[in-house]
Amino acid sequence: MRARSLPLITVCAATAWAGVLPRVEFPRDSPVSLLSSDPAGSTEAIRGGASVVDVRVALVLRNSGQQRIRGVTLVVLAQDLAPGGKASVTVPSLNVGPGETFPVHVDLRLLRPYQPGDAVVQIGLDGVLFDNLGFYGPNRLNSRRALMVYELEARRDRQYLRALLDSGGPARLQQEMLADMSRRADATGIDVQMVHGRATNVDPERQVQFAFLAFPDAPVDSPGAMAVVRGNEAVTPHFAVHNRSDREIRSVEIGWIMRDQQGREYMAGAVPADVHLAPGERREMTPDAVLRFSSRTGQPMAIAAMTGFVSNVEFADGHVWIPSRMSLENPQLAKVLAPSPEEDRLLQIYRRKGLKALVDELKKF
Amino acid sequence: MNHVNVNHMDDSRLALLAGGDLGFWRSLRAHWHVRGCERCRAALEAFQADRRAVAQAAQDMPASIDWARLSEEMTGNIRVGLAAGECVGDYPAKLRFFRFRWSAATVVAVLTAVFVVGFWINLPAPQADHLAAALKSIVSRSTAHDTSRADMLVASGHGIEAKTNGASLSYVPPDPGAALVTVSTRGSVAARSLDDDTGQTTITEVYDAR
Repeated sequence: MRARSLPLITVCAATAWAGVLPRVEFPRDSPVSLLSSDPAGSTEAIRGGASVVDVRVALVLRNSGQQRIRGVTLVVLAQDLAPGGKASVTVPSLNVGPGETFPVHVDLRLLRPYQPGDAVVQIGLDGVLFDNLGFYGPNRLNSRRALMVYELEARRDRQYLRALLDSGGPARLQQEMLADMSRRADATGIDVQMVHGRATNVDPERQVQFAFLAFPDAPVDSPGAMAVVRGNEAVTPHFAVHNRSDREIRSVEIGWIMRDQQGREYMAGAVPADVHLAPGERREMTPDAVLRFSSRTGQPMAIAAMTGFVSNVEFADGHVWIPSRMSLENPQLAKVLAPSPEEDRLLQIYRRKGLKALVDELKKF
Repeated sequence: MNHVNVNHMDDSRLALLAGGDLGFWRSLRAHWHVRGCERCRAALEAFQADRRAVAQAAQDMPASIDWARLSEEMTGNIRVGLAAGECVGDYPAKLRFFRFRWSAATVVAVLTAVFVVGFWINLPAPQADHLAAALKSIVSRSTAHDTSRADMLVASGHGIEAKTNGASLSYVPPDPGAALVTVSTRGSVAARSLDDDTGQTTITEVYDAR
């Protein structure tokens, strides 16, 4: 990793601001540079024995490299303010040419027991993805895989919409956009709490087998998956994964759908794991996690059934697999799966600027 | 030395002593007592005289009578009588107290068992299951290694939050209702929001302290 061997320099001077000092540091050879940083929205307020720190920094970054940038992940470290104190801000679906600029907003709130004195919030670079799928950055937050997934999803969805446009014209594209909007309007979210290694629910426990959606082209399948369920809690899900490809696999992410007692389904979460799988090898994934589900009104939602599917796979050679549009047309998935960030962006263009702007946008790629 | 013994040996013991059936240590104690007690010594001598007389008479008895066996049976009967006397005699106060306590404990245990069984039978099934799970949970928590941590990740309609020991790191999207929040079992929560003006998507993720 080139960035690790290079000394960090402060590109932007720290802004002297009472309480917390947001400081932006990028490596010397970074392909993005800081044009401006405005921490004016940041405040600190004392409430009883606690202080509430709002870190609001508007950054303007410039592509100082030679390639187009598709995505960026910044890391925000606030270890002086909160134990762990780590966050990231990712901007996917970018199309920033050399010399062009783009904004990034960091907006976080820290609550901590009051301690007099200044503290430092550091903003750094974790990764940059280019249009040739090359990557730059320390990748401490595994941002390479996330940015790759976003970019491959963006390419897949643009290709799909472009095919609709080519085959059915703007009317077919419009029909798809309206269907997307309707699906988004119908989608209901749930509240999820996650803790490690501890269950608090005293409802009777039972083992619930996951139903698994098999994609014909997926390099990984799951011969068995289950979790212990107590009321609205799912404890330590357990997945068996099998590499059915002829390539070595570095990591797998399983998508998790939860069905409540009324038969409604929700996207419960993602189960990523670094599992090194040789071709044909089978292993177990058992993340140490307890997930607790409740409705948006705070009512506990008892789990009736669960479904899993392979949402992405990273091979040892750095390539990433994502499900095809055909796989995602599964009715169960179509109801719960959120549109990709790129699909969201294109939908927004259609909503705000109209069909012609969307067609023009698709033709850019 | 003359001394007055107010506690005399009973006849059965003296009879056993006369027959040499009292056992070594008890005989020793009895002989010590008899040496200083005129009354007991007289009684012992009377028993010994009776014994000699009986032995003499036994020689005149028919040959079919097994005197030795008869003697053993009589001795056995005397021992059984002594043991029975101990049983019906007064219990020491301490033993009586324990016997009472055990009786009371038995009654309480039986009543408790009746109450628990009655309560369990009349409890609706869901509540019974809930109670059983709670008890099981208490038992398992007391025996299992506690790996609990203060970390908690929350993804809700209000945004995302990582909490650790009274401190928290959170993100509230500009339009919380429209934001998409997700949980990763690797130890993070993410919120995706779309800027209406620029059309740019931003994904903010907060991580637990692990």
